[in-house]
Amino acid sequence: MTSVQSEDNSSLIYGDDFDDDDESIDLYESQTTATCSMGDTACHKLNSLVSQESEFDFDEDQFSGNESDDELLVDPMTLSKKALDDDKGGSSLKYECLTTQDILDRMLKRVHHLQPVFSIPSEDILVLMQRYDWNEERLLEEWTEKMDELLVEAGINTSNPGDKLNITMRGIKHRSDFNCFICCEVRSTETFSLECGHEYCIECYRRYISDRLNEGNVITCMDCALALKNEDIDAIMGTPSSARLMDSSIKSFIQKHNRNYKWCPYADCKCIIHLNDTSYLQEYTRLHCSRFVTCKFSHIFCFGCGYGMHAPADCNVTMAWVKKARKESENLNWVLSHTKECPKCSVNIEKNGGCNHMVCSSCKYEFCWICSGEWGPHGRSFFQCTMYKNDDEKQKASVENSKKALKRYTFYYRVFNEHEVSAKLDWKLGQTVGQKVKAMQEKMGVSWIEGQFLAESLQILNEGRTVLKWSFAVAFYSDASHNLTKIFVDNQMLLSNAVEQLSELLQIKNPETTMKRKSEFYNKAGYVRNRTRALIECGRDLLRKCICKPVD
Amino acid sequence: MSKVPRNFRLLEELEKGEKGLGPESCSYGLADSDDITMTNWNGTILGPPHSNHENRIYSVSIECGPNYPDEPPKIKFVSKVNVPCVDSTTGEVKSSVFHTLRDWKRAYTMETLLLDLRKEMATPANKKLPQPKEGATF
Amino acid sequence: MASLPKRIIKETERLVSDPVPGITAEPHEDNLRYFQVTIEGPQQSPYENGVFNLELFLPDDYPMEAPKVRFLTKIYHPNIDKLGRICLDVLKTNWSPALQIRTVLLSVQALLASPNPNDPLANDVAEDWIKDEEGAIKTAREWTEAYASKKDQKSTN
Repeated sequence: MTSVQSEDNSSLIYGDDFDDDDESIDLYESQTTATCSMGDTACHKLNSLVSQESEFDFDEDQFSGNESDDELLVDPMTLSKKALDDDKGGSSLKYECLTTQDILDRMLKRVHHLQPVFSIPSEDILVLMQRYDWNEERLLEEWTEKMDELLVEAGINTSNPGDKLNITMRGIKHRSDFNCFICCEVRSTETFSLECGHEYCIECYRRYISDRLNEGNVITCMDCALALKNEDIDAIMGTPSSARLMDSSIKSFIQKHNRNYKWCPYADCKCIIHLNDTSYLQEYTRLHCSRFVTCKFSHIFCFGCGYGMHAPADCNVTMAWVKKARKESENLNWVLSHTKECPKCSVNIEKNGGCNHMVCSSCKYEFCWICSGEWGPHGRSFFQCTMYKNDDEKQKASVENSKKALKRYTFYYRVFNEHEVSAKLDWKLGQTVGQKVKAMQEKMGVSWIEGQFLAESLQILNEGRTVLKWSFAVAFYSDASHNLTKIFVDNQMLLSNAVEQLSELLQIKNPETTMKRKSEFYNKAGYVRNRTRALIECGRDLLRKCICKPVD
Repeated sequence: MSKVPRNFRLLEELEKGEKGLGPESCSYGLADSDDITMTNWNGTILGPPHSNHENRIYSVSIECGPNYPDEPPKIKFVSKVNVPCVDSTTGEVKSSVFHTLRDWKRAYTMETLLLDLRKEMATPANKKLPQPKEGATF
Repeated sequence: MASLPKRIIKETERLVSDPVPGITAEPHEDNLRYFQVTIEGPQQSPYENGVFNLELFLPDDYPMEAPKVRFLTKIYHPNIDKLGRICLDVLKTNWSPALQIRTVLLSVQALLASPNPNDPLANDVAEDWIKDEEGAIKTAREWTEAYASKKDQKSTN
């Protein structure tokens, strides 16, 4: 945007053009070990999550058998593997899960800590920190260079309190017949002004502030650069509204440091993952691995691209897929509804659980939600509704290539989508699991620990579904004629069957039946877990051998 | 609420269209990006699912006269379509028949119009009407 | 229509009683928030001797929200696009309720005097401006002559 000085520029406001694209400097790097604000239990929990997650994704050797470390040394991957390994890699791999409040608390601690250096009120330092996007080092540097200028620029009042002639008292006043320059109304009202004397009625000030609370910038006087402090804002608004400003300021801080801070992408989750050292992320990319992190609420997402868990796809496949889906949906109508007609009696059926084994409530016909085919063969291992069958090819050799490509994409997109919907429904199902466990505890005297197999099964089911879902993106970009792709498709099918069976078990409503079939849960869940890992492994092979190549 | 004048209203609509803030099922933009009067617009409607229009993309042209949005725009199909409210020889949407044009309100936008047309194509009475060959134009 | 806020009435009165040199702004009779504006091209700029028509609208939230301003006369300027939209900080992020219609129009006039091709809205124009400033200024002059000459204005209004 262009800023020009007009002749009447007395009221032009100075822009705060802080371009903060330079190295993100961690404010409390030195401090994290000393003051871990999260408390020991939380830290411990995080560590356990970290190791759990590493087992889930990138233990290269996990699957190909349990070689010892010595054997691994022979592997050409060893070096990178070492660097990637959580347990041995050391502190560079640690991450923490924070909220904006956690970050703000740290900032406030820093402000308190810095107070002796600046020897100005803490509230003023807070304004300075905001101006410098919470970049303490840059602030300190410039503070030593040009203290006075900086204070003026940041809108901090520098006039001497003893010099009473030129200064208006900062704060709220009561006035009769006040003529507000903003609304031009004349009436008895409360007013507010800073030391600059630009005094406006409280209502104009309230409207002015409330528009700006979410923008994350220091709010200044309407007519000059003098800054409002948090206490001013709260006094004017009559409520502790400055908290909102602080929150939006921290949000913009995260935005500007998005290499080290990532929002959990799950809807309504307010967690932020902070990764101190991102230098090794490149190595992940090279190996087609992804740095999956887990927030406090067990949401797994990729630190590299910010999307939810997307194994076996790597970030490149994920981005290509997401981009394509976005592009295609612009051109075409991909609205895949949640209802389908029963293939037999055409009654409308709504899918209300993750399981794809559908039974029509009207005619009892059993069919597969994904391919609309009869369910019968799905339970058996040879059936493949996960594979795109190119029937048309033989019938019409001259089918337009683009149409075919589109049709191919439609297929993969549809399956991907179905699994996404299923995953969401499973998640909903999971929320009832807690109640189920409770019911079991109350009715059958089952201990809490004993009931946890349900939660675990659900977690495994979710992971399996997610991996299955993303495997279709990998399949889409893979050379279908290659043998390894065929193996991949076989693996998809195995996982698909395993997932459906586990999903079906979880639909059981009766607590007694659930308890009776506990061992089945263990078996199926274990199987899903194994199949999930196998598919991830196989997918990574496809990527490593360049059989899966994301294009456009 | 004050009345937003025609030009600023059209600029708002243009921005919404440019940023892709609207729904995915329709789109619109200026026919001539140089036209300071912002009179002629192009639009597309994605055929509604579960109908004979499924997977088709319909082009329309829209003319926002000097009295828009107090008066409705003129809208005309470029792609051939068979719907009762569309003139079968010119492609024009008949304002006497199509309710959104007939009962036009100032708050309506080009987006309202396109979405309502799409709904019209999907009504039980219209969704199974035989359609001309895909790609044909008026 | 809701009654006009005092602030707008006052500003309008002052625009009439104490006009800014080289700038006129008159509200439309049927919409008092909608102004017809003319700005004379600043001297020693490629827009010298031109009179540019603009439109200005005060949204509901004015003065908390900035006025909306657009050129109606075609103009060759790196910060003004083909549709007359203006890229100017005081119209966007640097708006303050203490600014007024007159200050905004003065800023627009100042923008004509000092184009900023490094922060463009009209990318092609800005490119020309950076590559060949002399040529760009010449084009701006020609456009001013062609679309914004005073004679022309009289015949169209």
